[in-house]
Amino acid sequence: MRLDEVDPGKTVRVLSIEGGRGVRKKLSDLGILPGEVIKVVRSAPLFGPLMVSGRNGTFFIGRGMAKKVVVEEVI
Amino acid sequence: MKIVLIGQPNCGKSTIFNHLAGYKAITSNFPGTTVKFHESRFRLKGEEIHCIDLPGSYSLSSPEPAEREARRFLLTQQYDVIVNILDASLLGRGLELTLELLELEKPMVLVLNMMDEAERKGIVIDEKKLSQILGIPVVKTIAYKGQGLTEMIEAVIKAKAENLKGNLISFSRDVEEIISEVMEELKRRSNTTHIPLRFLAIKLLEGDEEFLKLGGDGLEEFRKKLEKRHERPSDLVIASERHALAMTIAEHASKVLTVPKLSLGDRIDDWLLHPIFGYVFLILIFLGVFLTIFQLGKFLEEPLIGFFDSLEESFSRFFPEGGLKALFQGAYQGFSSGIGIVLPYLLPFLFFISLLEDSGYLPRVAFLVDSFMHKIGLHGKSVLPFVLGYGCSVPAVMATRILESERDRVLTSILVLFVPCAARMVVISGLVSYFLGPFRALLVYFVNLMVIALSGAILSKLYKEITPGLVLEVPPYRFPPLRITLKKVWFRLKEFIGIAWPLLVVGSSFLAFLQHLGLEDLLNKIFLFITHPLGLPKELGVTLLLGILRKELALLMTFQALGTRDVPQLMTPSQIMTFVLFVTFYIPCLATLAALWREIGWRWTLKGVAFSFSIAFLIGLLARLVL
Repeated sequence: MRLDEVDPGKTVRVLSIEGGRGVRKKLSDLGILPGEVIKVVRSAPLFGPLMVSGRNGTFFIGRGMAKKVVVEEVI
Repeated sequence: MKIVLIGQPNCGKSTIFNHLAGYKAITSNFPGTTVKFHESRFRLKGEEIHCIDLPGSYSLSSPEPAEREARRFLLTQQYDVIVNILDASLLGRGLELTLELLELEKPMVLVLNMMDEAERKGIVIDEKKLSQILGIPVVKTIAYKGQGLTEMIEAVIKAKAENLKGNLISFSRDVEEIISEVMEELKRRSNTTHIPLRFLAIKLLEGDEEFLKLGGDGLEEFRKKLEKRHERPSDLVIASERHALAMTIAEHASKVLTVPKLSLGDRIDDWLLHPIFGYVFLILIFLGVFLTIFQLGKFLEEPLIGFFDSLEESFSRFFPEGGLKALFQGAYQGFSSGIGIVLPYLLPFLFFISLLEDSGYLPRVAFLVDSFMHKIGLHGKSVLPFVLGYGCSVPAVMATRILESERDRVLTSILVLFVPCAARMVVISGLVSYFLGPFRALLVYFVNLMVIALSGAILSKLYKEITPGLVLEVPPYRFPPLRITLKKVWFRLKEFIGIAWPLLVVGSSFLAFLQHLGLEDLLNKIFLFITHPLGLPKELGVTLLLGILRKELALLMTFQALGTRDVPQLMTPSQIMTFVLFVTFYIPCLATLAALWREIGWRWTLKGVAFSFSIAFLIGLLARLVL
């Protein structure tokens, strides 16, 4: 599953990050790294960004970026 | 003693800097306010201190240009102590940067700022333990209250005197092995860089282009080894290591006493970021702010202008008819317009924009409008420069440095020129709102937004490239103390008083003198190519020229050129709208041009000027025909 497909309110674990160095760096600076658990808090309408929170704080992430994050749901 | 302040975005670095140096840097509650260095010299505790405030950086390997600048500074400049500031409520994350800074092997102090926010979140930090682990002094501060800053300076002096460079903290064994191998290899090559060996080795392992250029050939084997062992890209391996290490240290040195339930901020977000109400609030907030400014401004302007006009008559009597009198009247008009016409709108405007900046609402606007911004080829983060642009185009153009791709920076810089800055707001208020009513003024803003959207759509078609997409930290809501807001207003007002106002006086007397000599006709004839097709009185030609110096001049010189403050006597409502719309869009002022030149180079600057002029002309023609 990709991060952009996660319903708001759900918690997921990051499995891997695809995409180039730039994308990886941006996301890892915010603590979105393989193994980390993050929560999708809400999303903006019309395919707008997601609001995601984890141990490193709360962030807005655009759909395009979120597509590059492979996740699995944690119960 | 030279000290460098560095920390992650929105950790309160600039607030600390301002406390030490007097209010010299704009602070606000969104990441990336400081995009250039601020410097200051002051005396504290008997020490002459030269302090540099670097742009906020998540790490020393970020691709953003502002963060690159910070890293370059740290590696190439001479300084005595690194002051690493972090947001204590996000200890683990902040320590990731700290770990990287320790690799620079310079005397260092760690500052745990925003202790009050950490306490509210139930986080208790044992700074002694932290200091023991890291090997550097650790101090707690609450910067906006000025708490702990004396201790901070004492720690800085100590760090320098005792050369406290801290401990190098080790990653997992297998990663360390490879790092030592790279270090050995570098030693063998006897690289003569001044960059600390371990830092360089790690950066080369991460595959950082800038360092690879310095001599990273033949090191691929080490990187491959690391990637093979961990089955992921080497930069991610190092990032994960650092992240895990920082989290472990944070867990050792802090405790979370209470887990706060839904905070007030979350509940506010439920409304302000709501899929429907979020947009309703967005519109209401901006409408409310501008309507208040227009109404308050008008309320203040009328009596002030009346007062100054009555004074003028009594003063003018002392002067004999002639050039001297014309000069005096011109100067007086410039002076009194500064107080009577500009300040009534500028002051409330600066107040509201400061409040908005510090509240933490602006990044949330980026969230709300991101998908609209994509339609015009940008993304939500460009909203921050745009909103800053309502204040002044110069910082707005500089704020484009928070965008990652060059294309986004260029497009945003050019579009940001169209955003009516405070000076143009004064023109819109003083002519449209004052004479034609506040709703016509809002119409100008609406037309403006539409034109920006349309231009964005056109430009992004011409300059295709995929933007990297939005990634933006969400700061907590904060209600800034009135004292800080007022300081900020004063900081920005000084710019008007020091530069714009004198220019108003000089420009106004210059124009009065030209009129006295009968020379302004010549200038007006040159500008007929604009005023004639737009159907404007030809007297306005010269105001357009002066408007390039400062946008406020376009308004005040209008009064001077027409010879009256009662504009509707000489101009129809349609002419007023046409003129104001043209002034809103045409060539940016000199200061903005200079900033633009620096940020995107002269080619793009010239293109930007040509583009804005054509748009202005087009909109002017349309306004003449439609309104």
